[in-house]
Amino acid sequence: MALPYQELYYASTQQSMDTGADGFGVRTYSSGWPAAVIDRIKSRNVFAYEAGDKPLAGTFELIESPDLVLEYPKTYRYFQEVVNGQKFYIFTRTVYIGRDYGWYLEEKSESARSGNIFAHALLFSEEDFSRSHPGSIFSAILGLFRPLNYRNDPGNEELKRLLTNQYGPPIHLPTGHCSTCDQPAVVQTFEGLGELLIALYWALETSKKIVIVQESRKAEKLLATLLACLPRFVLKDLSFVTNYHSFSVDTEYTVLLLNEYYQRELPLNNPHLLICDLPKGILPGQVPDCDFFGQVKNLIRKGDFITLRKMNDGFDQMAASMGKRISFNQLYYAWLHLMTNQEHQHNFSPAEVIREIKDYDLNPSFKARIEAYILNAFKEAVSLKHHSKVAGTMRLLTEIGMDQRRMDEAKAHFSSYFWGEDNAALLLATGLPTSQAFQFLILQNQKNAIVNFIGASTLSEDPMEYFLQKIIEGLSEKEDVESIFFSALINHKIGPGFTDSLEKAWGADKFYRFLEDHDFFIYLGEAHQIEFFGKHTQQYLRQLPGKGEAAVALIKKQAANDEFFHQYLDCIISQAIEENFPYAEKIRLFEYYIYLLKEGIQNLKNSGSLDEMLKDLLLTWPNDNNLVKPLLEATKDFERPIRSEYSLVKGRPGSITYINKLEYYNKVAEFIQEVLMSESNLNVLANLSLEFCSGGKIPCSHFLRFLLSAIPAGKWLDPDSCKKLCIYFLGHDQFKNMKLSFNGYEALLLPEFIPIYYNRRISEESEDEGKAQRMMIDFTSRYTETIWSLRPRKRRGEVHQNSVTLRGFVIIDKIAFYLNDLAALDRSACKSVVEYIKNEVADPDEGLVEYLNKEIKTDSLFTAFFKKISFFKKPRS
Amino acid sequence: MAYTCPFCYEKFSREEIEFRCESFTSAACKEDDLLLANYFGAPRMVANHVIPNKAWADVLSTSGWKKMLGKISRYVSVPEEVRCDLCSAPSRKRICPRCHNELPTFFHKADSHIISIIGARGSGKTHYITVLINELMKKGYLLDIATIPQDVGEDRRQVTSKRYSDYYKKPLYEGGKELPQTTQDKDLYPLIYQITSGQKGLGKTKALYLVFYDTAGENFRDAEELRKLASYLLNSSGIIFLLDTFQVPAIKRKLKTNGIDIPDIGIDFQGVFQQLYSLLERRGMMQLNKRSKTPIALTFSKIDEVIRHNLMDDDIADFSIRRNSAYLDNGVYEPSELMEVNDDMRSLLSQWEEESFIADVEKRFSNTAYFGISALGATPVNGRIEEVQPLRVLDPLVWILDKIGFALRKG
Repeated sequence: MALPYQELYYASTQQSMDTGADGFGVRTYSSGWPAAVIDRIKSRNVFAYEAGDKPLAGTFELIESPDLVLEYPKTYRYFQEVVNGQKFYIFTRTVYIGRDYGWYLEEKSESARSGNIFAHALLFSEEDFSRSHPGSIFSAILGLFRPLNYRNDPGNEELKRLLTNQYGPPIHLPTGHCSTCDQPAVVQTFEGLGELLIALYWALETSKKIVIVQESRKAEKLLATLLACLPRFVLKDLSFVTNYHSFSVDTEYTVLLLNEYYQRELPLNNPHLLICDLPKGILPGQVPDCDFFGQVKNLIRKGDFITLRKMNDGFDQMAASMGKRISFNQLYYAWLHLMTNQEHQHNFSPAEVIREIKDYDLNPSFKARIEAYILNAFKEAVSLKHHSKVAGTMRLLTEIGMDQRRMDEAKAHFSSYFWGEDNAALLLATGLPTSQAFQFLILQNQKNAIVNFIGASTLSEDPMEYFLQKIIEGLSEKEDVESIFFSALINHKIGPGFTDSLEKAWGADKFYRFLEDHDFFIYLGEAHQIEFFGKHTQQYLRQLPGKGEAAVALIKKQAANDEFFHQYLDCIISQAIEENFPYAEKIRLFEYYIYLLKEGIQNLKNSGSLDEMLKDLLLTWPNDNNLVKPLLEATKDFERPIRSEYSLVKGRPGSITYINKLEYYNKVAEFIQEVLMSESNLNVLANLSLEFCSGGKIPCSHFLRFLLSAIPAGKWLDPDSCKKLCIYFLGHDQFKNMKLSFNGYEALLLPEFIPIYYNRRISEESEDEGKAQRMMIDFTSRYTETIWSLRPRKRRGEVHQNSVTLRGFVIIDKIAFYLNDLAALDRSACKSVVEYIKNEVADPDEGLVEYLNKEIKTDSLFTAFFKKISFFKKPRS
Repeated sequence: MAYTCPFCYEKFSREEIEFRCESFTSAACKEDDLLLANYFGAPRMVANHVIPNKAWADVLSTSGWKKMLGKISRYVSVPEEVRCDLCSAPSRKRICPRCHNELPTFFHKADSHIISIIGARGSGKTHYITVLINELMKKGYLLDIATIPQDVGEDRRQVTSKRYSDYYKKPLYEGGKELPQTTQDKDLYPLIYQITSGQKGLGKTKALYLVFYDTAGENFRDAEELRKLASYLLNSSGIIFLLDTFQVPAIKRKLKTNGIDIPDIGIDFQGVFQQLYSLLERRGMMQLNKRSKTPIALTFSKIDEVIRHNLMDDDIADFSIRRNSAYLDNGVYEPSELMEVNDDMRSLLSQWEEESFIADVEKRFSNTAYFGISALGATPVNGRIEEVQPLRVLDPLVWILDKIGFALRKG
């Protein structure tokens, strides 16, 4: 088999094929030599020649002794070039040929100077190069390098032809064929070869460079032997250079040969270099012992190059299917398994090797043997419950790509091991990834085992949730999923973030579909799993309208019909109160309630839990405003939708805005009545508020605000408590401040609300018109009286009975508001009120009754009426 | 002010100059230097830590206002010494910010001038550089010039004085051997000399750095190599263009009649000049119909053979190139002397029927002068040179120095 190769000559010649000029340049090359490689190797200075510290012989010395050039060491280089994705293997030999081309043309001019070198490069394509061993190729091409004779004799025909072509232009070289390249290289062992080889292996393994000091005349033999003793895959990435002389600049070559002309200090302390000074017998001491290195030394010592070659061939076969390099020692062990029957003779670590050769497909029987080995080890570890060993062998099982039958066998063993006792926790404690463990689990028909596992395992929350999620995903039976989930809930195995992670992992659609499919409310958790009422439930519910009618219908259906649902909520609330849940949790519950109410799920008002909750909230009002905030936000929600429908601009009675305002109040009242509170609740609430207020327990303005939101339902209030509350709020210091601080307008609503709701109640609840009228008159009179009693009395001699007063304009506003309303409704009732004022109100003003009698008949009743009242009169100057 | 790195020829400003830590002991200060590795074309190079120049201000002083002063001063001067920001060792080693090669000590204080010596293969560049440097060092004092080699660079074995001594001076002066031809290897180490003048003169340069590169003549024929030469030429303050007298056709003919056959090396000097010109043109150094102001000394080498074979007009008995430079005798540089040489050489060229070459040159360069030199004084016989007897080798350099405003002792 002849191996084709391309050639290139570089020297100072009469004409360069590359540039057309004389002097140094590429003289000629094979027409098959890739042009891009020429540029590449020129820039790499691969033709340069330096013998070390031996000065180059000049013209004078060469005339004296034409053979002098032969004493100069030859520089060999071996390297690879990748050009346009193609890899080429290049050997070069550069020799000092002394005189320039003119010498061979018998010229005495500049062109006969000394300093000429001749570089001959041989290039192999990757395909051709792979057909033989690089060591054999190198040995064979040693005889192909030109010139064979470069004695500086003017009659040297070879040099004359190579350098001048008889003044002819350079002609392309033909593609060469190496007929002996496939002959095994003759190995000529030498002292220290074994050590040199292992040093070289070690250098390759540790990404160092190896420096070999050897006499130049022995370099060829050394290289040929060294190359012959190495596997091909190593040589395909190796590079070498001889006559190396400068360590100041780092080099790309991995093997550097120094010759006898290297007179400088050896860089012994350079951590990147391994130095082998063969003449002095210095070999690197830092190469560690291992079986492979021992074997190499042993084979070299015995001169058993056949076994060495066999081993190298085995290495090559294995390396061919390996993605990345493994240690030579492990490669050696693998080779022992693969090619020999000595598998347990050495300290073999199958894990390391198998991991690296898992894609190996050259020898199925070897793979089967390895698989069986691992499977047995796995089964043994499982039965003995050696958790770390189980983990280790599992990794191997995964990585090796075991065949299905063996894998099923492994899984069957693993599942029963994993579900049992607390093996899962112990196994994962070894660092095995949860995903890998799950891959080995069989889920079908394992319901009881899984339920037991969930109950008994001490796995921490994260892996447990991972497994739960995967199990839920993997199980097909709805019932199984539910019971496993339920088991996890009652065993406290999942945390509040679980639904979060489910949603994240699945995406919202799948998550909600899952909730719907699996009777969502069950998964809210046991009574004590209050966390599930948190953000998730809220979010879920809030998103329902966007999920279409079906989803809303579902929740409504559940809320309305499912007895469990109501009991469940009651249960949670009573538990919240009894077990003294954190306030924030209670507020969350309250919010949840409110949300359901707002969504139109009104059946809840049958449930007594809300009253309890509210009372509890009020009684245990905390000092932390942050906690109160969501509660307030929730109560404010009542009003918001109604407000958006009605303009709240204050208007004159009878105007459109005024009507809007009335409607708004009525709407609020209706809403609250319907959705929030029962009459009794409100009374409780009012009393509670009063208690708090009078006891000075009001912790902050937020509380007032909350009550303000609740008070609009005052129409159900007992008139006395209503009045009291009204008075108290109106007069309370904090309230006064709040008028400025939060919303004066809202503050003014309070006294307005009360009569309006009262009116509403009377009109709605009383069938007897006469009775309704009486009630109206009664209420309005008492209300007026109350308001009236709040006027500031600063007259001399009067006892200041009530510290709470209303400012004059407020009284005008309030009384005008409802009296006008009343007049519009029933003038006689209005008159009765005036009568009442005349007769009953303590300390009526002078001329008041008369004034009322007169002005009640006119539209400008109120303005005139109040103008008569002395303290509204402008002070006389 | 912009400086040109003598290694990579890149330009940089004063505030960009960096320092390299000089600590021998600090392991923390050893680092991979990518720029340096890139310059040497090596996969990696480990060198001492490069002290970032923003750290200068911090190392000047601990007092606040001095720090501020340090920051400002960076724009007007380069600190003499800085402290390494890693090991606090003091350092005076300034490096090029572009290639991280060490700069000469007073590089930031003096002008740096690259004088390119170019010429075709066999024109005698290596011999000329060898003799020129030797003459400058030996006889520079006559012109009140002191020349000191600048031994800078990471590899101490490749510093200027060692390289000059090992590869140039010793073989030629001590060994009496003709120097071998220069190979095409990438030459990474320039020869750098500091020259200082004892002369006074307002606005004159008193100190400068000369940078010589010994390039292979073949490079002028290789498009790829020529490209690499471009930045060298572009940043040159002056060009000494060596022309091989033997390649003048008229001389060749005359020598042939005297029995000396000079082989045709395939390129005449006009062709070499045209290549140089077109390279400069491509690099934007030359403009159409505009002459370059860079001084170019068109130097005919091996003029000793012309004298020996009497290839000049016999009528001119006291032809200026027959005698050596007068300033080497009296120590006074007379521009008129070199103008005489210039005129004589020009007339010789006319006599040699090279008017077209003259026209070609002068159309492109406004600052031209013609010189005739002999580096060795005689053609080597069988590679031996008995005695180096240079003739007028300093002329082109002195002329360029004068042109770039260097303070020379003038009459």
